[in-house]
Amino acid sequence: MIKQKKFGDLVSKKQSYYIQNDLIFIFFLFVCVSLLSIYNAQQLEQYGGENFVLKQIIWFTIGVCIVAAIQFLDLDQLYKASIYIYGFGLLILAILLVSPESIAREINGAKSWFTFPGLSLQPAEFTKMATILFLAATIDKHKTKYGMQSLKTDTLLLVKLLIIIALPVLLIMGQPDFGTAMVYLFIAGMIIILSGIDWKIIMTLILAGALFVTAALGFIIKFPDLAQQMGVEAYQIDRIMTWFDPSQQSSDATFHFDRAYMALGSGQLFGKGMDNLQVSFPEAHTDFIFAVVGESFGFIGSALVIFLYFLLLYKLVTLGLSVYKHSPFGSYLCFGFLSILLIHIFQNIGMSLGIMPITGIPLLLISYGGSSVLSTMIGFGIIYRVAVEHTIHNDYLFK
Amino acid sequence: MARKRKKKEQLPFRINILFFVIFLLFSVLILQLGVVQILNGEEFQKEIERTVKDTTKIPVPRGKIYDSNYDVIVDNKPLYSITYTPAKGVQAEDRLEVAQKLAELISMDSEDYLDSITERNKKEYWYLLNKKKADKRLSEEEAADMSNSEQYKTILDRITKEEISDFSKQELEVIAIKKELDKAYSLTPQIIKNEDVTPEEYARVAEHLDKLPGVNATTDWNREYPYKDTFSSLLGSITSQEQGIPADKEQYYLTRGYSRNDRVGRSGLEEYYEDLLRGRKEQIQYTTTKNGQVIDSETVVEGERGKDLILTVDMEFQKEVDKIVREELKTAKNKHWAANRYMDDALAVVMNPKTGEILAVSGQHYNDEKKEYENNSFRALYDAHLPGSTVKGATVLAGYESGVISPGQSFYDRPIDIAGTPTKGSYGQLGLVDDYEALKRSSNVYMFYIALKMGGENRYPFPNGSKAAFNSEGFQQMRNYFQQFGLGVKTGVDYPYESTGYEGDEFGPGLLMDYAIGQYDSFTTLQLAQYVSTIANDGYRVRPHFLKEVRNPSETERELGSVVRSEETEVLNRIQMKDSYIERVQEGFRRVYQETGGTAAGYFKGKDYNPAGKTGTAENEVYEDGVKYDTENHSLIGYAPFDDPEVAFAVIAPNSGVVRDLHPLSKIIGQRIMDTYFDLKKERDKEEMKE
Repeated sequence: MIKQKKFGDLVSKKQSYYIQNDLIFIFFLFVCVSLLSIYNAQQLEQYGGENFVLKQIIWFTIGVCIVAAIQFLDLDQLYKASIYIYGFGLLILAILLVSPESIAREINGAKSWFTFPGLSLQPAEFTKMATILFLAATIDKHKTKYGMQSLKTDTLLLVKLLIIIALPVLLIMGQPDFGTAMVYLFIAGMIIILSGIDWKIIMTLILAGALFVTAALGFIIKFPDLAQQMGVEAYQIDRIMTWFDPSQQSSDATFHFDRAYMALGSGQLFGKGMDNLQVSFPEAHTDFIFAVVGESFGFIGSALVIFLYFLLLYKLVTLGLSVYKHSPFGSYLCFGFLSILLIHIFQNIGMSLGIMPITGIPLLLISYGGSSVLSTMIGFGIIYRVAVEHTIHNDYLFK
Repeated sequence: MARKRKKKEQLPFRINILFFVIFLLFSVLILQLGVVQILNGEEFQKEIERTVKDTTKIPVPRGKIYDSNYDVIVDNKPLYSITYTPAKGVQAEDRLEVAQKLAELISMDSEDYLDSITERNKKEYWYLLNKKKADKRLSEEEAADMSNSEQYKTILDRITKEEISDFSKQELEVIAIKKELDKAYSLTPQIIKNEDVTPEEYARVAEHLDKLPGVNATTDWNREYPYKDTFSSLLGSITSQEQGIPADKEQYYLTRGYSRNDRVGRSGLEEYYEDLLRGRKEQIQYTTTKNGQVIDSETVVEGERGKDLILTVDMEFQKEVDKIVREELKTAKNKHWAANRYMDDALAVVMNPKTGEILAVSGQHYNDEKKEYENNSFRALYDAHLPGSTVKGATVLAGYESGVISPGQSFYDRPIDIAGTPTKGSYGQLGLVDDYEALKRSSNVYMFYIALKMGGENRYPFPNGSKAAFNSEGFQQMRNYFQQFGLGVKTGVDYPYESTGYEGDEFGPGLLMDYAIGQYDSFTTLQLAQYVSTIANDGYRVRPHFLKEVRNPSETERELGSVVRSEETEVLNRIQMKDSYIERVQEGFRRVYQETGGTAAGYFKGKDYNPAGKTGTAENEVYEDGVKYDTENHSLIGYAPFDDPEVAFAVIAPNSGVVRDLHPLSKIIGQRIMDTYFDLKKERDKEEMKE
């Protein structure tokens, strides 16, 4: 009898493992914000009747299916497969580089997209999560192999991590896509810091890196002509220059920004609500979606959206901390995904608010876009799996 | 063990710091969000709601020009035009719709319009009609990395020749109209069709304006000259819309509210009276939001056609004068073709000596290259010639006034020979002449003595062969006297340009003697006319003028508007000489014309209009290829009637050949002009009596 009852409990429990209320709730809110904002951006009638809301719903639906599919894998399998996934990611990036124009056209001077008829994909978006998977697995494996930490083992780990990160970054630089490469470096930096490597090594690395970057930037700014001769692309020099001297921004970009900035500001405290926007500007449904959020929902709405992101990051931090003890791999995945979100959120919202330079980085979970939605959902699915396994683990633990 | 524990706690520690950093970063975002939305939000909202006011100016017709009998000299020929003034943010589809409606109302099927349609025009039209179909030819992936204009261009490229090959005529018209519509800038009128708009088309479009947003049926004007080239060179011209305001006076016009494509007077009276003729443009102010919606339009300034000018010129008389001058020039040239080969001009000015009203200005010019005669009235104001003896009236008056001669004084006329200059004399030895005789028979020697005395040489008779005393102040004194008559200064005529003549820059007794007989400084025909008028008008120098009245634009075509102002007689100065002196010169002038022995008596003796005046012949020379060729300038000034002058004239025919039995051009012209003037007057008086 007792056994029977236990079994029944277990079945209902097993189902409930997969219902992570907090993650589902946060995700649901983001979907709402995303769809409402895209809908509003569309009302300015600058997109010739293309229905981006419907398309975004389709992307999110596919995304949810991916999340569900990932739940059939467990972290152990991911751990073991991580090297192949990473390898596959690199392979795709390499293929992209040598692909002919017909399937990989240059856009804005960079070969970053596969452009199949009816579908465009940005492999670097997907490789991000693959790289994080392998970084997490590598740290976990290293920690298991060298129980005792020393400067020597730490250095070894650092070298491993640097190599893992350098390969995709080099391939991405080859496209060349500086912005995405920077995102990779940021993520790598975060993971290196959290990997527990000794401060002394990290500080040395940071100092060396900072020194190199400062020297490089200084050189480029001081001698742009010389830098160009040495192979730095003109647009990259421009971008660096404008970062330090925003008044030099191309008039086109600043015009777009000025419009978006004006729209955002005019939302004031309460916003203009639905279907009532007054300012049209390009990329309102993608990179400048936050300006739409700001104009539509005002300070209160925008602050809530920022808070929602903060909540998600908090959830990732707590999840990462709580699984660290029994699953360092899962915890590094959490922190990796957190890094991706953090850099995108801060850069994108900061750009809309005029405190970060203008780049084409989408606001994850809200901006319209197939590649960014799907790659984010893959990351989200993995985190979801971490949460599920954590719940299962706790359940067994307290049996 | 302790060390290991420390290591294990590393991650929570670091993640806490990291989380704190995240917290700080998010705080920065919220803070900046507050700055942008709460602190500056209102400013942004105001910026969005700020409306823009644009003013559109609609041109009005220019004033007309009439002659003194109120016959139209310069008219406006209305050109109907269909214009298009798009609001801000008008799309291609809107323009297509307008074009389709317009095509039913106006016809654009002339060769010019249809031939100018390009393949691109056709493709753009086809694209608008088949947008969905066309858009499919560009896949989304292709579109993704193209700018909008690149996408559009690519789609247009993919429209095949067959698809745009069989448009109906009606469709081609739509394309032609749309092509014109596409040229328009927002809020700026663009002419869609003007040259051949029929009154019917104009009416049809005007009736349907409410269904044609931005379209207007307006009239533009062209200047029309019923008298063709008669007097036209003085009327001047206006610029075309393409020329707009002259580049060299751009700032001048722009600061006076002109637009760059405004038509303005470019020369002549059109330029001089631009301010009166231009009228006042209608100004409509459109209020638009930032999004380009017109929310209000208001007529700020009511338009008003330019004012009409009534000129002093009598076109009927002018035409006659032109005819006379041309005929006589032609006769003279034909009679002595070789001798008169340098005689290319004959100039005449007729004016009222009391009011300064210019009645006719003729300048006939033989164009050697084109071998034809031209109306060059402007030369009477622009070209200066040696006047010869016509100036002797001024010389005698200068003599009286300076005290070197007294009324009635006589000199013995025989050649004077000053050491170092050629012997100078009259055309013959005239014997003892007093002032009357000196004018009547045009004694040079009499004038020489005046000149010598003014120069400080008081010996009489002058001992031939000796040197003459000379004081250059005397020269200046003589010029000053002449200037009181308008000789050597501006006449003040209401015209953008007039020459003041050429002033010799050397001094000497011989030159002063030349000056005294009109052989040194040169003057324009208009200056001579003003000079003779001054003598006729008892010493009052009046300003010659073309403008008689300014009238408000008339309501109807037939009537004249009310008088804004009448040009009044303006006395520029009164010469210093007393009336009794002036009367002596007037009498001398009368004898020239009316007494036997007077140099013009052969042409004027016995005329019932009681004329007076002075003839003149100046020795001149023309150089061709360095070879000197002697010529003469024949001039004549006069006025009538002697006791109450109403008409004065000056004629110059420069550079006729030096031959006997010459066609005495200036005298014949003068005579015929005066005859014509008084005949015309009689005729008009008769007509008036009949009525």
